[in-house]
Amino acid sequence: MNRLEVNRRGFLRMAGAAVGFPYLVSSSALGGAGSTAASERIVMGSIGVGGMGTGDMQGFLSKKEVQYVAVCDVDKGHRDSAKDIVDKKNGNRDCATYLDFRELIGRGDLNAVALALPDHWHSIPAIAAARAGLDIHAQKPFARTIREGRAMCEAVERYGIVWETGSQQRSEGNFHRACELVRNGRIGKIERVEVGLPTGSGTGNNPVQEVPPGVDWDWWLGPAPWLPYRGVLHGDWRWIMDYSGGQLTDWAGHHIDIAHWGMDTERTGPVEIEGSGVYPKDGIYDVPTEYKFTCKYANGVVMTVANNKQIPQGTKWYGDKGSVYVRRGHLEAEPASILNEVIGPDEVHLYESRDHKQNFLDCVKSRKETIAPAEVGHRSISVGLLGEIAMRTETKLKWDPEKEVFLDNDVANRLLGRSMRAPWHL
Amino acid sequence: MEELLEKVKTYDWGQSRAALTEITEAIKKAHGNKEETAKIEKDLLGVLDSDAKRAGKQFVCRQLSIIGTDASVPALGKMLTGEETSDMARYALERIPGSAADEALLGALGKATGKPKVGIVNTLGQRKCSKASGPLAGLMGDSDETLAAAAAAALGEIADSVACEALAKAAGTAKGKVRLRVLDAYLKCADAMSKSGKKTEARAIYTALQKGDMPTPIRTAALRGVIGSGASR
Repeated sequence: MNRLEVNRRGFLRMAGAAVGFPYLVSSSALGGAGSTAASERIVMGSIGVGGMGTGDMQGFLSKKEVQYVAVCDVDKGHRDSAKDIVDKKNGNRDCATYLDFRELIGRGDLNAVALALPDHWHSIPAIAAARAGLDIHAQKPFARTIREGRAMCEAVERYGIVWETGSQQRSEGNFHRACELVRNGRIGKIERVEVGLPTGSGTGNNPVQEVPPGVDWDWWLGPAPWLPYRGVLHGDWRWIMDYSGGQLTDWAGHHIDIAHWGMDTERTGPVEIEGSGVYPKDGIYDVPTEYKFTCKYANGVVMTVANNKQIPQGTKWYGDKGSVYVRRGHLEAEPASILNEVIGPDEVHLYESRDHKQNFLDCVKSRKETIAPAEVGHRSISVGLLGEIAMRTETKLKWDPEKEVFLDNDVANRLLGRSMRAPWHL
Repeated sequence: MEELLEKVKTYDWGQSRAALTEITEAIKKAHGNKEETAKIEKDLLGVLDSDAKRAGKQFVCRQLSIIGTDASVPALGKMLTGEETSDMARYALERIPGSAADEALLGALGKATGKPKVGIVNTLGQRKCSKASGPLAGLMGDSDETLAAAAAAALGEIADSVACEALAKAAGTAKGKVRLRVLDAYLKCADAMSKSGKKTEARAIYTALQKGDMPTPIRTAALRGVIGSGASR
């Protein structure tokens, strides 16, 4: 990419981000038959290339407009295998590898990054990428704490970048259809909502042990409190509160996200939260294995969230004229005739996408909002995080969704954010 | 509780945490009962004052982050300058409301070095401690870029008049990786002003940050700031 190209794209990007017009202008004359012109190419890098991150990277690599140039991970094994995949696709050995995400973000030639990290690492690289003007596709859940999530939303808004949360159920037909039926009153007035999420499990007290070769443990911990390595690394981190909230926060970004879409509460939150959970009394895992909490919204609708031993997995809206239930690969309604309903031209037609990653790339070019923008992702996980706080305090909490503070509960307000291990900060 | 606290004093990572769980449950049950939480707080402070292992002290700090009051501040304050204890002390202090925690952090700022100092700066920023704006302004010129960048970020969080003035000066002089943090923090000041109705002051900052020598993301954000605040009308 020459300097002229950088300047032209830089200018268009700046103006596009500010006023919302496309910055990647078609220039087919520069591209050969079947190839993508340089001016249409989206140069990407990945931060976090474990299982999920590699899957995301391969998804983007399959898109003709994407050119991958860099990968970053705290595990050398992950870095090297991701580089091999990119190099094989590019037919060279040029993909750069990084331990430090700041070096990848600071390269100067990227348009976008894909983030797939443990939850405690979601906010810092996202905000750094936004500050560098990079568009971001990031895995859910949106953030580990509500304070971090709000800071991320502000950074996305401040720098005018395109954001897509990896809540890909939004780009699947049955979820879209379910939400459109509910939003258009086919079940009548919504009375209550049930969301079922997976059940967790505990484990033993792992001994302190050697860090696996190639893993930088200090980097892996990042802003989380210092702890010695005890065999919890890729994948297992999700069951420890320092790094995640377990099945609850993992899946809140999916089925609560869908519940909000149907309820038209995507950019707000509940006003009351109450519930309790079952926590392992011993062992290295400490997130709730079973949980149940209720969220009351300003219009009086109550959403109950629980693990799937208590509520079937998926999202179900109950109205005064029927119900709609949706989960992966399944959609049903009561009465079943609701499923035959046609949504008329003057009714609510929800944002449509049938390819989540393509939607992100299209929005990088058009500067339009994606199907899963930052604020929506934040509000989806906020419900999971509010439930987590309600269960930890076992108190009926009153929440101001505008100011994002609890009313008259000092302890609950303390749990909205957490201190980061030095030198990390937002 | 006494027996449980003895177990915390000998607790280390990899051992059973059943006793710790019982304490956590007791704290949960005491929620809303000031007398009971004050008693637990006092008991926990006894562990901090013992030769408990790092794991036990970290557990105590996590609990104090939830129920800690001014009574915990002196013990936590003493831990702020230690390499192994600073982060866990901040974990508690960052959440404890009131000026005593601010004073402890400010007091330790001048004594700490290295990562503990950076951490204290970060916590002062998260607490939006206005009294820290002056000392933090001076740290933006530190030769340690990590510390200087942390100071800039903290000032952006505080965003009071002293912070904004310091960031305005630093915006013209900061270099290297500190510069982007300074400019980002200065934008936050403008955003805070715009939000509080000081549109003219905000516009002056946005205009300054749109100059040609500014990084493209900063110029973009400044332009968005002007549009978003209605300052261009």
